[in-house]
Amino acid sequence: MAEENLTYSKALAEIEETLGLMEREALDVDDLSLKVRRVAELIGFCRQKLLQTEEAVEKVLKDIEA
Amino acid sequence: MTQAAGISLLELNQRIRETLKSNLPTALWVRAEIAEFREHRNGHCYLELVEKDPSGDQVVARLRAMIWAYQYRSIKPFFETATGRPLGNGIKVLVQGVVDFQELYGMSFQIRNIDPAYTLGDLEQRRQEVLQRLRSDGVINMNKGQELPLVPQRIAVISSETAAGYGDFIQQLSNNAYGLKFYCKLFPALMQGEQAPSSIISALDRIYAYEAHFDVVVLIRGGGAALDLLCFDDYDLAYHLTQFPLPVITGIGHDRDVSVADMVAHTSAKTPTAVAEFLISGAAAVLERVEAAARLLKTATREQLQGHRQGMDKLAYQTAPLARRLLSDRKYALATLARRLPSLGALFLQQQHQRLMQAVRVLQQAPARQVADGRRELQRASERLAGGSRSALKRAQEGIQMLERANRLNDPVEVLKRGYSMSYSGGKVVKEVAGLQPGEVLETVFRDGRVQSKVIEVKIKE
Repeated sequence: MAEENLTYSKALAEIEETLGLMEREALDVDDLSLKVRRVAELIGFCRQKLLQTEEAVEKVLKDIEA
Repeated sequence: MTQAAGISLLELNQRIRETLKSNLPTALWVRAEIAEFREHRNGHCYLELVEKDPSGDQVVARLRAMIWAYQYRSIKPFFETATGRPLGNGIKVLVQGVVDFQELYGMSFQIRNIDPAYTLGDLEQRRQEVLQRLRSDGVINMNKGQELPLVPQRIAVISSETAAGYGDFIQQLSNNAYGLKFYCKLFPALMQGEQAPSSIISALDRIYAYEAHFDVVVLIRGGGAALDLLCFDDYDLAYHLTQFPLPVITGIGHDRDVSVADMVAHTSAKTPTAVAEFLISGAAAVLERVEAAARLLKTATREQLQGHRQGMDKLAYQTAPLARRLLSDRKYALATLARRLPSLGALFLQQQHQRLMQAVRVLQQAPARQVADGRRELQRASERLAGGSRSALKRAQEGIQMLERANRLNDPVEVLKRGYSMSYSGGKVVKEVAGLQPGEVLETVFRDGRVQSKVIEVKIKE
């Protein structure tokens, strides 16, 4: 997901809002698959960012002169 | 006593010694600031005590002092335990001792006891002054206003590289139980002594140049035995911390007073390890929310799909009987219509027939009357004609012609020409099938003749 400026706060807010809608069954079936895919993507984004090493970040920090 | 003879220096010093002894016979409590501080390897401690004027710029009194090794061994831990700080430069002390004067070495204050409460009070007072200044500058809570991201992962660490506390911090972060990823960059600085504030400020300046690459600054003290936290009460350092554009988390490692740096920081933890725990637990909470969302997504999606599928099944289940019922309703209505159609047709024919017969009856009487009317009109017209009104005669003649045309059209013969026929049985017009018997002979009048026919079957409409 090449989304700029996506933060944990934004991602979580969107995830939890959509899940809320699903729980209240406020989504129609046409929207459902789209939303499910989106939420899955956001979850993937958070997981990856929390758990996977970002080479780019490591490189930037390595290049900084302390 | 001549001026030239004088007294020897030794004699002078002996007199000074005697004078001091008789005038300052017992131990005195003295307030002073430590200007120089040196522990000799023989175990003795040598100090320079000063007093400054109230502005703090000018030294107004100065005296050498010392603590004998056998006393220093107990004074040092006593003071450190009580104040949480070592004896050292810049500390104000209340010490008890005697003035000692030796002819060879001069004057020295020999310290035998110390009152840590005075030092604590003074440090606290200075701390309060620093805090008050930060408050009146309006900056004291500014770093707390910086937004700490939900998961601070890119961490600028200010510490000393060789310090145990730094090692603990890195160890703790990188070996967290959740496999969470953190990125640390060390900006080395002195973490104790007089140079510490400026060294830390310079580290902050270096981080500032790369501000965009970090989420948070962590200030952790090197650890070890040193107790000197005085540098974290420094005004300049505190001021820089308040102004820093990233949130600062301190883990300075105190167990007594909270330092000014701790107070102005965004968040303060007791130890470097506690800072690591804080960061890990925050990120772990987010990870847990994400995993909970993932689980919820799975079940909710499944339930929703199942719900929709059931809805569809139900719909399909309901549709078939509904359609069947609808069809059978229509079929029934059609059949009813079909059954009624012949009788409707007959009814229609019968109504038409009745109207026809009515017309015939009217016609049978009307023409005669109309002709009579016409005659009278003609009579009048011819009378008027006698009076010379030809046009009236003509109108009358036209009227007669019209009436004759109408008469002709309504003539039963004319009606027969239009396709109707009339049947007679026994000389009477047959108006209904009731009463007819199979085998009965009917005479039917058409336009161009008559036929005789035999009734084969009689069907009466319901």
